[in-house]
Amino acid sequence: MRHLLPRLGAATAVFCLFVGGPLVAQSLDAKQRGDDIAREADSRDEGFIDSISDVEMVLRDAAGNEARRYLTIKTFESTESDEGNKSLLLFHKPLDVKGTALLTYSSLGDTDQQWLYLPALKRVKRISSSNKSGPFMGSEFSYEDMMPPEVERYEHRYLETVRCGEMQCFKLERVPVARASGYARQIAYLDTVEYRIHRVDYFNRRDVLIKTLYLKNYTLYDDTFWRAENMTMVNHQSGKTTDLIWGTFAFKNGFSSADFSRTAMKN
Amino acid sequence: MSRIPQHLGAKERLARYSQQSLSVALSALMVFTSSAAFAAIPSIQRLRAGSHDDYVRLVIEMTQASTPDIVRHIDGFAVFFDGVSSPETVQLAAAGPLVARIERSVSTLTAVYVEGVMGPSPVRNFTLPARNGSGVRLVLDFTPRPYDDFIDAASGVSAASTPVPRVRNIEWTVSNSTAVADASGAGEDVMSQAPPLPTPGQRRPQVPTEAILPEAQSRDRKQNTLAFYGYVEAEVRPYLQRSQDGDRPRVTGSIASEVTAEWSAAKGHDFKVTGFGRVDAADSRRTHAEIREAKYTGTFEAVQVTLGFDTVFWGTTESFHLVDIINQIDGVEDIDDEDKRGELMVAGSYITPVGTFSAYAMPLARQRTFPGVDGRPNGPLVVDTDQVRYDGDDDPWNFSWAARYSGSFEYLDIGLSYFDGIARDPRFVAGLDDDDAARAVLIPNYDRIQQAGIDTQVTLGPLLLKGEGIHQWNDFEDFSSFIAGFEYTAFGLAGKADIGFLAEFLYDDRGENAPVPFEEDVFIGARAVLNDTANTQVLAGAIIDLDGDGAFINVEASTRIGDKWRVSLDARILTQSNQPSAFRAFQDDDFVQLRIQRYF
Repeated sequence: MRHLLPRLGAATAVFCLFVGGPLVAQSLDAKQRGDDIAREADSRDEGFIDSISDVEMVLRDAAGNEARRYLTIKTFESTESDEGNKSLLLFHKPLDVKGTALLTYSSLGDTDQQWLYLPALKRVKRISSSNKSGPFMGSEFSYEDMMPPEVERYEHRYLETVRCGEMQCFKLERVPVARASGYARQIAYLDTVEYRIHRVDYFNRRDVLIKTLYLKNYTLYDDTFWRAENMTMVNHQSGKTTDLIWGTFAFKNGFSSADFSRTAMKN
Repeated sequence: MSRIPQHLGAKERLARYSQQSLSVALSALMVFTSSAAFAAIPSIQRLRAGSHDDYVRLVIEMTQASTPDIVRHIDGFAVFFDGVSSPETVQLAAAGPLVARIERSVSTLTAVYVEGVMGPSPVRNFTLPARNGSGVRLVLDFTPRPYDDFIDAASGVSAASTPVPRVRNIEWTVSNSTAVADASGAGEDVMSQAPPLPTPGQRRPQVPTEAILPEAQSRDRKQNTLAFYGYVEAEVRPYLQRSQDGDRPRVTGSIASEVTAEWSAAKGHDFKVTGFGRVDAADSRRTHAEIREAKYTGTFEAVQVTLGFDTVFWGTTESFHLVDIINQIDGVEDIDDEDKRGELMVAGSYITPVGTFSAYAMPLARQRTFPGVDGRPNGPLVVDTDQVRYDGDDDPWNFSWAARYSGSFEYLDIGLSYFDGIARDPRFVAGLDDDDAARAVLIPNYDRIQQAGIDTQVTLGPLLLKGEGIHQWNDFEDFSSFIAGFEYTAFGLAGKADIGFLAEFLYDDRGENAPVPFEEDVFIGARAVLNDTANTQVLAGAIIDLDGDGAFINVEASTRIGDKWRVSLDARILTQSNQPSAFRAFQDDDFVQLRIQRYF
């Protein structure tokens, strides 16, 4: 016994190094891994410089009635490291809102800057951008949902890898950093090959699954950028759905910062 | 590790086992701490994976043998190599449900994470010499997680060299809640039924945007096409009281239309014409046509140039617009002063990162429109626009110019403006009607003025602080006026509606002498936006004169019907005031107005 104890003690210590260490590392690992996956997905999208796409939005209620909205979405990738991207949404239909424009300067983490152009008054108004959980154009997408999922907006945690169709998907849990977010958490599925998001489950503040977003028809542009041409948001509580159908994307159009100014909104 | 002889007693076995563990641990420790001194440490060269009938195999090719520690991990195992280096680039191998990745945790502690396999331990674990001479192959066989079928069954092929899979749409199983609650993820997926899409690297056939979305009129895409749109409107106005002189109608109606034609000649060169016309059943002066825009706009990078008639809005407040001076008001339209007459100008804007600098040259002064004899709301005296005076004579061609700086920062939007030219607000002089010498009329005079203005908004989340201020120099009485207020919005009430609360305070230092009826007033209001598919909005507000001259109450509600119709109902009410004031003349002209607009 005398000889055993010191050996056991040393063995246990080293054993802990090998087993206990990894166990602690596992939970840090899941967060780190989640973060790594999110950053990899983000970096795959870098370098598109600018994009423009015409979008059709189809709103369907539980009875099957449809309403259609048409808009153009222009985005501008910021070259400054402390600035987020800029986007300009121009509405075409319904006809009574034709010409209305929404300009957003994303700021990483903090509240964004947003302006609304009202064509009837020819007036550019700076609006509050703290209402991220409000519905966008009466659809099932909230303003929060319409924003690209920048890494800094969430705390990520890797859960597991699952099979999705023919591919494997990383299953990530992401918790919004912004306290004003309408969600307690989200579960995102990214394929392991190209880090494209294929599905997102949204949980409200009571941790009830309320919505799911499906992203389909991924197409490769410029041999580099994947864009989903169909997005469907399903609201499980109301049975309403909203389809976003993206027309052909054009990248590297040569837009400048001036194309995303308040003056540019009026055209 | 060597097998411990069975014939030994329990204590002895334990002692020998711990001895072996300790020696392994100690030697590992030595390797760990003195690895730098070693000339060559084992390194992993590559991973390979293969799928077999009832197991999946992971092969780790290494330069030298090294015994790893295999522990259970999320969805599989972690294979820890101590004192082993790994390749610089990420190594990945996949076969069936197995996905293996190399990750370096701590300098020479390398881990291979294996997912998609089940425990409690690998089925088999052995070492083989490398196929091509030096090195070894560490072979680990695992029980795969149960799935119906697998795709990549080619053994020994690592994912790094497999071509990128085709992007089939994923068919998720029906029940979303079980898919999420099921931690192992089993039973979650079903083979896709969707037709295969082209492989990446090959673009989808180019379907022109117009074919997908014929309704979309994206300016950036369409050139050399004429866009044509607008609305037609029918309006009914029942007045709540008889007019003061008893002669004017109790109910009036009108129809109106606004039409816009847009043409983009080339990228950055656009033409736009917006015309408006109204036919009023009661007031012949309200039957009028107006050009709101007729302009060429040229965009050259950060410079924008406008030639022709245009409408420009400056300002941040809701109840009164002090700095908004470029355009004349089409006063006959409605009493909210929001309809504008187009202004002829040559204007330029220069957009910089610190803000936008604009300049306007306006050769033509335009006078305000007013209701006629039969028009309501109106005071007892009609404004005789035929006797208008611009800076002393009746020539409208008087040069005015303006300059503005407008900047936007994190919390602050600010505008600084200066105007030098013919005033937009008329000064009324009593006179006699040219046609009927017995009748008294008001003659509008537009004097030459200079006006400096500032407009700001501070945006703090749901709270907006707004302010405008002007100082005007003229030949009669220089004055200052300012307005300050806030708008607070409560979002998402009762599910989806946003309710905003507004209050503004207006001050004009001309006091009672001001030619405008409002010299010290408070505006309070509320705005509700229902965020429904019909874009329903309701606005209710009151402007209360602090000197007791009464109040002006305004309620507006509108909603969309179908896709192309918009209906709005407005009520504009002036409450009784006992003191003489400019308000008094209008106080019997309260009305309700129903407008139906059809867009095309």
